[in-house]
Amino acid sequence: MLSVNNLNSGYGKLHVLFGINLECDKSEIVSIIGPNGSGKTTFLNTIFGLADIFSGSITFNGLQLNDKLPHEISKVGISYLPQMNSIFADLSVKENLKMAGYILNAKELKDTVDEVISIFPVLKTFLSRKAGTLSGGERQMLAVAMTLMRRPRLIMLDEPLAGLAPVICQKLIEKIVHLRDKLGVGVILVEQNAKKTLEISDKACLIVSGRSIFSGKPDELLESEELVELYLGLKAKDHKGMFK
Amino acid sequence: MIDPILMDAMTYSSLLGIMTFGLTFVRRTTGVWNIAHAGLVTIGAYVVFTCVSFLGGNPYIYFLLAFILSAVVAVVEYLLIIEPLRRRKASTTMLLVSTLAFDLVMLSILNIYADYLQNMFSLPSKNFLLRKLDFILFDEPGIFWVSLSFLMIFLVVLYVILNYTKIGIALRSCVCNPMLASVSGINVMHTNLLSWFISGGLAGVAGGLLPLWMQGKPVVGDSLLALMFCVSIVGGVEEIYGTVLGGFLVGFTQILVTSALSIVLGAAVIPYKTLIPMAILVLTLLFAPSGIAKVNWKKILTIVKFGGASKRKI
Repeated sequence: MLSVNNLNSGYGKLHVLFGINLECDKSEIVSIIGPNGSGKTTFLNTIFGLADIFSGSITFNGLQLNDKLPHEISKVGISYLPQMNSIFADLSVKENLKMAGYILNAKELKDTVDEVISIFPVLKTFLSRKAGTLSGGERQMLAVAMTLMRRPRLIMLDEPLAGLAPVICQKLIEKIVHLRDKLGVGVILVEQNAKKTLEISDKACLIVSGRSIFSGKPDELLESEELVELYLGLKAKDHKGMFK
Repeated sequence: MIDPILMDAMTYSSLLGIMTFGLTFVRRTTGVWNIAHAGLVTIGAYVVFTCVSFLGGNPYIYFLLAFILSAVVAVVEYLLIIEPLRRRKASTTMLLVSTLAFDLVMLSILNIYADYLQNMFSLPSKNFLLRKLDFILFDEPGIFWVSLSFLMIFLVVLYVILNYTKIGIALRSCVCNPMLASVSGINVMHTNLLSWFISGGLAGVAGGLLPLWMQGKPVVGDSLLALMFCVSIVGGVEEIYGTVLGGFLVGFTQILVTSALSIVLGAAVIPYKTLIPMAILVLTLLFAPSGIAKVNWKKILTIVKFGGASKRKI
């Protein structure tokens, strides 16, 4: 589905990513992990046309995305939940959902709003409230719901669990797994919380200082004591074999 | 027949409101305070004046042309200045200053154009009034009815567009979070262009109305710029109906207070009449910085009803 080959990218003259490769198929969760400032968000921004590509290629179902603008990329079936400002704070919840489904026609929009609300029933109770007045957890639910509005085949989530209470985190994780297992959606997940992320992932990519230093199965990553202890802040012994 | 002072106040307030709609609209949907809005108003005035001078007929029939020409100039302004500066991550202050520069360029061109009309065709292009061409309805000049009607029509149309249409909500979303808007599939540049087109067009229509009520000149828009800002800020940019509230508050206060003061203190106070809206502006910024459309009147009434001050912000 998504194929990233030898990607070099950044912002203007600032070179952030060096030779990144990644594949994500349908019904697959791929985790991008790494320390702060390693380039994880830039990676997602690059896929979505929000950063400059210096070399390499990004293709989605055979379609080259390198020269596409963000509003064009959203039409090919990729959704993106940015890390910051992931909702329209000045608009109502209903208007947020409408804007998230901007590319749909009126009939599709209505059906998709109903579908999304059935996945996140809590949203129904505050459809007319301004999104800026929602709590952190409610905002994040809304943001994830918005990424589903475009009926994507691939969604990219940038730290969706950041700052959420453990109960909400667990609910969101269940929703992400539901997307993969029941709807066949591919998910690229960027998270600081490596342990939680790796538990549900099919593949993992460890990025450090803009370079991919590991790409493969999550349990293979956890077998490398050095990587786990150095970059993920986990104790390798405690996690070895957790997916077997 | 309506009292002349009241008629004056209503016409003036309506014109202020119509002129300010575009300013508020583009601020609300793209986040830019467009000083060149004044020049766009003047273009509207000159389009109507030129057409009436060369083609004759009623000034109102040229309003569509005034709308289109001012709208096109606004789009040019956006493409030449705002969009390239935005790509360079220019601050809102920088954008505001750039619109001032564009306004000065337009002012120069309009002066050259007025000189050309005056020298080549002996037209009174530096000081013109089209009142004589206006129609009369129920003993009142057409400008009174037209300005009031336009104000109400524009208010309803803009309110419906911004709150109940997909493109209107998209316009609001682009100023709220442009990155998320583009990620959602909205072409931010196209929506911005639409905003500038509508705003410029409204300025053109407002400009077309002006010479039917006051002297038209190359600086007619710029001479009213401070008042337009005053109306927009006093009314509040968050709600489009704030412009009508602001227009009527500023217009009525200016006309009625000046009229009352001139009776008591003499005609010497008339040149200082613009101090009144500025005083309202200062009071608004001090006590209701988001404009009167955003004031929580219910809370104020509760405080007044039960007495005592609330420590919470109104």
